[in-house]
Amino acid sequence: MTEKEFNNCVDSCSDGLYRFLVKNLKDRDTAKNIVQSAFEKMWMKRTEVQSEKARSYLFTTGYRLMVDEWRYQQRFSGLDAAADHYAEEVYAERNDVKRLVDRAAEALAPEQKAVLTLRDFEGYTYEEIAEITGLNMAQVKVYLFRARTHIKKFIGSREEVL
Amino acid sequence: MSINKENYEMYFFDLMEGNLSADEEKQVRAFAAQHPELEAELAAYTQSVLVADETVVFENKESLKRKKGGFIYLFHPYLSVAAIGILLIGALWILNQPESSSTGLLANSKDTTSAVQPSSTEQAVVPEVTAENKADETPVVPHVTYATTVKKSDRNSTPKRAVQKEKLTTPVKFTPVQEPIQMAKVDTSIIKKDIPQIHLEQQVEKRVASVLPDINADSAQVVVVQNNQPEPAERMGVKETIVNKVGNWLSYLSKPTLKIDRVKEDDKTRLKIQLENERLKMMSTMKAGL
Repeated sequence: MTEKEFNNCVDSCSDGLYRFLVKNLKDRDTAKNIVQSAFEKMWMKRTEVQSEKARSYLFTTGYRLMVDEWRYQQRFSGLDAAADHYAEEVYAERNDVKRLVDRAAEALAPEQKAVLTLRDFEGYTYEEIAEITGLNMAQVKVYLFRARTHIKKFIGSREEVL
Repeated sequence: MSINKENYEMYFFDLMEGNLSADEEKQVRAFAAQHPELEAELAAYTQSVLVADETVVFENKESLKRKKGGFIYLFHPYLSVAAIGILLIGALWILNQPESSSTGLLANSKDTTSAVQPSSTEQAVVPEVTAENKADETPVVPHVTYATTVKKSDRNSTPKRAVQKEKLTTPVKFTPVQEPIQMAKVDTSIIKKDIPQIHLEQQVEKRVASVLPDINADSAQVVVVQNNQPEPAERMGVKETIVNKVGNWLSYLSKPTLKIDRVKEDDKTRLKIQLENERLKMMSTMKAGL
């Protein structure tokens, strides 16, 4: 990809990648760092990455870096405080159903949430999600099914309360 | 297709996901209509879509973008050609300097060759060194210089030649660069600044020879190779640039500590950078990425 294509990709992809990472990591600083690293890597591999595959490359790289971050957070659970603060911020601004979906998604396993985010935020097909995450298509579908079923149950249980 | 109360969730999911044919979709909707108690669940499936918050944007996009070429290219193309020419002429001039005026850092094979023919000035200045003296002599500088390399290669030659070589090596006034080990904390705020990426690309990327995370020692060693000749990169503070580069790479780490050490070898200078952070245990998958 050319320098111009790379810079165009910054304009067209950085927000989406950032949102995906923020949603899954719940930490904006870490998400920013991963976005920077993903673009840095793509620049270094620019001769190999075709511009039409750039978005997918960025999400794949971002996803892998995010997995490293998850592992780190599992070891050092003290980092979750920032995440809780972010969640509260978001919930306060959303209407009821969206808030319920957001809250339900917070309880998902990280991989399920990542798959769901790729599907809903970016509209990726099962095949594309499988490429990005390294899962197979059957696993992607199962993760999505479990995620949506969990959200469905969460909405059902809370709507009665509301 | 046989939808029933045991498997309806998968069909509701497929309906919501758009995985069904028109015919199958019709059957699922008919099933939901027959079971009003399940209609709320179908509605809940259709609502189970995460909506991206469009107000969340990556603010400093310019920091991700690349600008054309290196620092020379920032100017007019003709100017860049002229600048490169001047640099070449300067380099040639330095290489052709008489030995007495050159320092050890700039000594090269051409200098040493010319010095093999002893001049009268050299003989007057340099005391004669015996073979015993030579044997006991330890290098003043632990780093291997060009001059000492020549001496080693001619070790088996005649004593007369050996004396000549002492004359050859001694005038090379190599000043040892005993730089203290520097401890540098990588401040993540550095990373957020607009680091001059062109410099990183041109002057550091090529020199990063290897990254060797040592899982057991909670550290990694970044070996950066550069020529012994003073280069623009060095003059422009290559150390800082490397710190930024590594800092950028390791921006996931909380407060990584870098220990920089300079080691001179035959014809290269290696900057060994020790990265100290326990998160490096997690970084093995990233070692190829720098």
